[in-house]
Amino acid sequence: MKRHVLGQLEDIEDGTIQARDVGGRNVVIARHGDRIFALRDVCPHQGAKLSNGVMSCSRKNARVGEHHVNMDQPVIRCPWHNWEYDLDHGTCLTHPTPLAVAAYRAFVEDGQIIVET
Amino acid sequence: MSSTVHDPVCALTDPADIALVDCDVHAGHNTIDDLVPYLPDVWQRYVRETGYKGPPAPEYPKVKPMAMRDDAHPPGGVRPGSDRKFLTRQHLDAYHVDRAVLTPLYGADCEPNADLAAAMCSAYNDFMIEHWLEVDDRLFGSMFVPFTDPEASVREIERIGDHPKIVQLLFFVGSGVLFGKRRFHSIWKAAEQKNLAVAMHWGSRLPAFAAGERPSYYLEYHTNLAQTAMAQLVSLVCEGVFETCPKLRAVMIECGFAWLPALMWRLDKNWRGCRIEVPWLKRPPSEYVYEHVRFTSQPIEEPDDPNHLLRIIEMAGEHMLMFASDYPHWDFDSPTRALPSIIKGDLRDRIMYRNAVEFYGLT
Ligand code: FES
Repeated sequence: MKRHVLGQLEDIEDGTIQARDVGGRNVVIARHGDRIFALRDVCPHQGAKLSNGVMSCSRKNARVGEHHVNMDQPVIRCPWHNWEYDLDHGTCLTHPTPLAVAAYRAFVEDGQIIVET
Repeated sequence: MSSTVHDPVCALTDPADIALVDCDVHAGHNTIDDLVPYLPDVWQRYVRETGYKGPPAPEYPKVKPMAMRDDAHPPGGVRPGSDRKFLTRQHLDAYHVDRAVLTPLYGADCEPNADLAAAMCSAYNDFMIEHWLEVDDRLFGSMFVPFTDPEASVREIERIGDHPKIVQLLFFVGSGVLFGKRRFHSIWKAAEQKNLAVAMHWGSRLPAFAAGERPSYYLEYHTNLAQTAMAQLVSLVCEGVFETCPKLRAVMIECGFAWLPALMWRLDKNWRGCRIEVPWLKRPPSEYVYEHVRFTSQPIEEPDDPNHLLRIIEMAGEHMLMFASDYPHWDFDSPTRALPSIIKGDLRDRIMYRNAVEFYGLT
């Protein structure tokens, strides 16, 4: 396992994503409050760079006519066909068969962003 | 997308004595005089005073008078499908139809006057019960509700929805509304509570548009109503009708079915990117369709290579299709000849009776 230091937490604004080169891999990192996430920067659908997409939160299952944001489940939406990937595990939330983008362990240590590959 | 992964709503074992169920037989009245006795006095007077003859006729001349088979006109000049003895001899007995679901195409529900619509729907329902459903054990029926007035519709379902021979509510696909809209949900809830299916039948009483304009020809209209059926199906699913009513069953009658797999692929794919609009859909949209909705077979698609048809039926799922003849219309499908011979064995049995027995809970 390789450990990569990607700078300070304040280098990335809360609720945003950034494309990074992590040991030769294209990785998208995302910040949600004090948490950091890292996914491979390639959508498994048709190959878009996820870092060109948007970060948001998923929607809770609701009754007809109700809309609730699930603040506990940050997601990244692909810039092309808008599929939604859970930032924790890289799981696609709208695919009937299991589909995921690689997720890397990422955390903040002494104010620094650490990603393990 | 196979029958093994989707549990149909309302699965039953099949009664041993049923081998043919016809899910689309147009039996009904002859003229408005048959219905007047079932109207309240005020509406009887209205009919007399205004010369009202019934809902507007369909807008296109058909290829044959009233779109009927040339040989289905009973002696005496009454309307095809209105002479019970003739219909019984020419169709039910001739083909050994064990159960038939009657689908009168009247259109009272499309009357713009909601109170007249309600009165005519009730009259028609009472007429059908007395003259058809209660006189032949083989016959099951559809009821009309004045859908533009959902409260009146619920009252009508409360009034006769428990009748043991009524199995569904019946609507034209081209009714000028999308039936998934929330203003109709109370109707679907009431239907679900009475264990009634919701049937959407080919046809319209209002101008039916395609790409924003009325087509020139009946040929186009007849073909294009499959698009209207697609729109109704997508509306029911996306508006969350099957989440609000998890036991509701729906059937698309005479609207084709070969388009179903392609439509479901497209809908599921779009849902993946648009899910935030409809967070009440907890599963891919196609799963609701394969679980809750069925299709009737007539007018059966007739590709040059019948293997293509077989493959599409397998793609959609063996539980999805139910035989229908559409008697006495000109595009009738014969119970003995419509299905190509390569459809055989268990699949043939499913289409000819078992799927309908399960779907409607027929005994
Ligand atoms: S490429 Fe990402 S959803 Fe299609």
